[in-house]
Amino acid sequence: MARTALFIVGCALVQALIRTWSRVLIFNAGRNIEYRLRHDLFSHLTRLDAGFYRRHPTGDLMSRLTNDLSAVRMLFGPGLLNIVNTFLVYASTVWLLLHLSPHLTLFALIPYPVLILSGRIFTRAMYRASRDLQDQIGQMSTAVQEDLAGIAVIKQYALEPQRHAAFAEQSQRYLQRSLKLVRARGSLTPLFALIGGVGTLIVLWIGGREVIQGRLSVGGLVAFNAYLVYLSWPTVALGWILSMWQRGVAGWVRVRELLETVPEIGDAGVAGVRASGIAHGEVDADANADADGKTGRTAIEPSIDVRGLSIVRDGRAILDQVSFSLAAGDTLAIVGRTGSGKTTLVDSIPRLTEVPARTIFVGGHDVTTLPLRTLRGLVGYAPQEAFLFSATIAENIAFGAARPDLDRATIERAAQAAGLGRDIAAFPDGYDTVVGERGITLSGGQRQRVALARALCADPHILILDDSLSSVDAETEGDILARLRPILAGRTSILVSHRVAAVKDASQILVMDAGRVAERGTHGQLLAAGGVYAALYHEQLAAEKAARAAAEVAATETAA
Amino acid sequence: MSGGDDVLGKALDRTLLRRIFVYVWPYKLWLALAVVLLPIASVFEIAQPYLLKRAIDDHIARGRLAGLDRLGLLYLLALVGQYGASFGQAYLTQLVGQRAMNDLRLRLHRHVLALASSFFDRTPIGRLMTRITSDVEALNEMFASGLVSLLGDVIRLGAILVAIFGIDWKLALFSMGSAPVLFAIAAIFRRLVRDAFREIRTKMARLNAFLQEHISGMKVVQAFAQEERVEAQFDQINRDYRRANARAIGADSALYSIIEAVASIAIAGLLWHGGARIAGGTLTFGVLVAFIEYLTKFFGPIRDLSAKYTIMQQAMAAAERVFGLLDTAEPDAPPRAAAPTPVGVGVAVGGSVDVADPSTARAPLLALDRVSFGYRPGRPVLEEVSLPIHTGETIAVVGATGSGKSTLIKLLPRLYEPWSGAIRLAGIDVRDLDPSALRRRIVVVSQDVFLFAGTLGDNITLGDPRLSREEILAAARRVGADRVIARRPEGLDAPVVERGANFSAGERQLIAFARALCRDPEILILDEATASVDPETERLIERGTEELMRGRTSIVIAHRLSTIRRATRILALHRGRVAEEGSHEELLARDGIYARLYRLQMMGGAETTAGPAPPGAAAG
Repeated sequence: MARTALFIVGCALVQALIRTWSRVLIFNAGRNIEYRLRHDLFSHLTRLDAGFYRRHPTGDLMSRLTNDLSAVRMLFGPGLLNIVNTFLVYASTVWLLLHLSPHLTLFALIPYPVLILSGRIFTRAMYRASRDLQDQIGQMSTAVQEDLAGIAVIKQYALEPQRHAAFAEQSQRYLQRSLKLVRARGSLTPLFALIGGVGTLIVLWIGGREVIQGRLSVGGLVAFNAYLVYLSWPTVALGWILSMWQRGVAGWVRVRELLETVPEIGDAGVAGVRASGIAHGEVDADANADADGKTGRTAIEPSIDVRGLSIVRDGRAILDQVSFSLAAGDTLAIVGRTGSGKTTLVDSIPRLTEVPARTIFVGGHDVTTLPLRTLRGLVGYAPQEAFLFSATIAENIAFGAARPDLDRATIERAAQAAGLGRDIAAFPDGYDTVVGERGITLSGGQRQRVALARALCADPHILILDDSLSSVDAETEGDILARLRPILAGRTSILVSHRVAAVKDASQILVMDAGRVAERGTHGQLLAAGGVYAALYHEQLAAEKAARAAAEVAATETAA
Repeated sequence: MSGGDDVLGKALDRTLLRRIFVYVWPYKLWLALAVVLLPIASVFEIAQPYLLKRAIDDHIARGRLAGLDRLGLLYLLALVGQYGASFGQAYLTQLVGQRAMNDLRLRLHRHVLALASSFFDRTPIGRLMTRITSDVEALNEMFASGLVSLLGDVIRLGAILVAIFGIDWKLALFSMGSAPVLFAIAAIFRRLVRDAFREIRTKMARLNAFLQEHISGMKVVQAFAQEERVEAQFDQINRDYRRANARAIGADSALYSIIEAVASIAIAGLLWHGGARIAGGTLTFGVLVAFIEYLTKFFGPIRDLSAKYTIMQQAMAAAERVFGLLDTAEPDAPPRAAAPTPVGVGVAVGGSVDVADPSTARAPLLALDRVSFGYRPGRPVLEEVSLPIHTGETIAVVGATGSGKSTLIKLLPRLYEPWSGAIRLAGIDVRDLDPSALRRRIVVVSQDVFLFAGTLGDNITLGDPRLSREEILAAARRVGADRVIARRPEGLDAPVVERGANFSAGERQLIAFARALCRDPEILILDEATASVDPETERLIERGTEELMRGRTSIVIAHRLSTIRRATRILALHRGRVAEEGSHEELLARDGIYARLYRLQMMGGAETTAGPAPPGAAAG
């Protein structure tokens, strides 16, 4: 007796070990798949181009990287476990039941087709209800986000009652959809259990008669019923597996779609880059070596040649036959109204936007044949819409550097040059102040100057400032430009601005209009030509003259 | 993700529960019904094995068919009763929970909207969003699968004990031998699983934040060729998340398996012991069957106990944060007498508004009287600023960055409260005016224009239904925003995406002008944008500014020469004090701060190449 008891306990312990082990293996496999896929997805995302990001909002990508991935993981982890489990339990139980009484088994299984059918119906209803709810959560969050971000306007225009009513409506809809899901989900388990219970009832009814008629022993009936109870959990789980399968497959389709998106911008020879016009011979041995080493970048001379560059997007010509040539160490300035193609033009030099082959040459090399790392390693870029990470000021500035462990002195020099010195001194933790969502909020002008310092940190051979001081007042801009002058010496630079004062010293000025170069030349030449640039200059100069005249009057009056 | 968001609280905190209960109270009848349904469902559930026992012992084993039909029907009734009651209970609980949480959410939203500007200055939006959405949702989980179902489990376990001890107390004692072991195991694992889940939450928050940020900033990553570094960082975060999960998987799998093993041993023991007693004739088959069913029903709730405990802890932690926000007593523009109590939106205050004081008849339209203010104690931004503004005047405010100009204009519509001194509108202290009425008369147009997602038209009217389409278009035409409308094929119905990202900075500025013009305020306050825009938009904005100020008392933080020229008076601020005041010519003649600022601002960086620098320029 004692040995039997020990044997049972031993069996149970071994079962526990094996069960733990198998669950750990299967669930971790699911997590490994998730990890791997997320890793690959993110790496892939770093290779996808600006065009892709224009088509896919951040929210959509986030949902693929989180919700969809998690659905795929569930399919491979708990899903797989339950599918195998359910199958094994069903198969072994039905075999045992048939062994005990084939006749009774037939009756006992009567409810199951109904169960599977209703399971499908309910799962679909649940899927719809949960999708609607997810949708509503998104809308409600957006509403709250807007209320908080626009709190100043709400207060100014006393919109509180109105915004609150709108939120109440969203919240009410959320409540209704939640309850709809509760109804769908809440009725699934009782329904399944009820149908399963009917099975027990049938066994009792039919089996009882068989026992009385002597065709089945009481023990047999008890055992039969006990086995049938075993089926109830996998049956309830079946509905869950069905919905998990549905969601997993849908998630996988969306994940795969992302993985299979071919980057339009990539290194020569990498699959997906337009095959046409890639002349491999164009990349010399030096440039090839740059692919892994950072030291080799000096081999490429920072001169820029743009030859007949045209870019068409959505059937609209963003750039139309733009050409210019900029010698190493020179400065090009670009002016023009909003939408004239300035940003697209400067974006195309480090290939942040797709460009046709043989249109842009850096140091004589077609940029589409240069390794992206080499090309972008040459360029320091400060965009108009400055993007900061939720990190310290120092980390944000050092982000541009080739080496991650940039010393503080270099960071501070870059910050000083970008006119950030005084601002940073006023921050609570100086250079270690965290900015962004987790920290303090910087003004538009401060963000732009951090982005400028970041570009300077890259110690670039080519510096591109895309209207990157637009939110800084004229006084500060002039101050920064004066400080940049020694830094710009020896570097090739491109400057986009609306302010004549900022661009007039450039060795060449382009005036862009509707994707074309409308005027070009030096400040003096353009003034002599008397075109758009000259008009702009005179307009801005008017203020200056008036000021000087007034100042002179004031000075004479004080003197007198 | 502030650090405080990951802290788990006590599973049951009486103070918090009492506060939550305030929101549940309106639905007390439904909740009572749900609680009543709990034991009913349990009774029906517990009856089933008993009916099975009766059927086997009294009928099947004895060969008596009569009465078996009746037992079968009773069994069916018990099934329907159990699932009917448990569905009703679950639905009612959720209904109460969802409604209560809806009320809480609305209360929270209203409370947040009524908080002072200073609160929003130091609180990240993400944190407030978490309070209103995720935290309330976590609290709701308490209703969905926490409190009431925990109560249900306790009732069910109790009912099972009553049933088995009632049927055969000796066998019951024997079967319950495993119960202490189970509770001990559950208690040990509870902590392990809880810690693991807390870590998962933290790691997942980090992962999501990283992804969100780097997807938004992918262009920067690519422009600086930092893909590899960022990928390495992400790999670390992704790995950490996997490791946290592996820990939870280990603990969870072990807990599940051990409880299953204990259950197997307990049932085997029961079969072994019961079998021996059946052979000895001291036990019937029916009792054994009933005991097996009861024991199986006993293990489920114990296995779920740790999960439910975690849910309760998370709910309590969320409740603490939610009520913490509700307790923030920092009301926007409170009435003067009862400053610390929060004011409901749009509450009219103060009878003094109607009482016209004859002495105020000749008072200036708007007056600052020795106003001092700062954002942080001990660091004043404005000191003793006094300024009377008469009807029809245009005041240009100038000053270097940090001189206090932006702060000054925020005080006028009472977005902040002065430390000392007073602001009076037509002789009445603004603190005695209803804030929404005050803000109807004084409108601030700021540099950073916020557009709501919706349509262009809605952003101009801000939901005022009294404005006709013609009026909107007329207002837009006056300030030059008609160009913005004409540029979009849908016109006024053109969609505005989140934060107005599909409109340029200049366009947003023009829309804000039209918005202010529609409100037609008595006093206009304008913070001219310093951002440079293309010349065409610049001209539109200049004209719009002029239109907006026409025939209106205005105060402008001026950056444009044309705007300054139009001012009747100029106020030069220096380090929070009024340094100079007078007309453009007067101030230039004085050659002080204004003259220097004026030269610097209006000429940009011009002085570096335009011959000898004007006097004073170098000092800047």
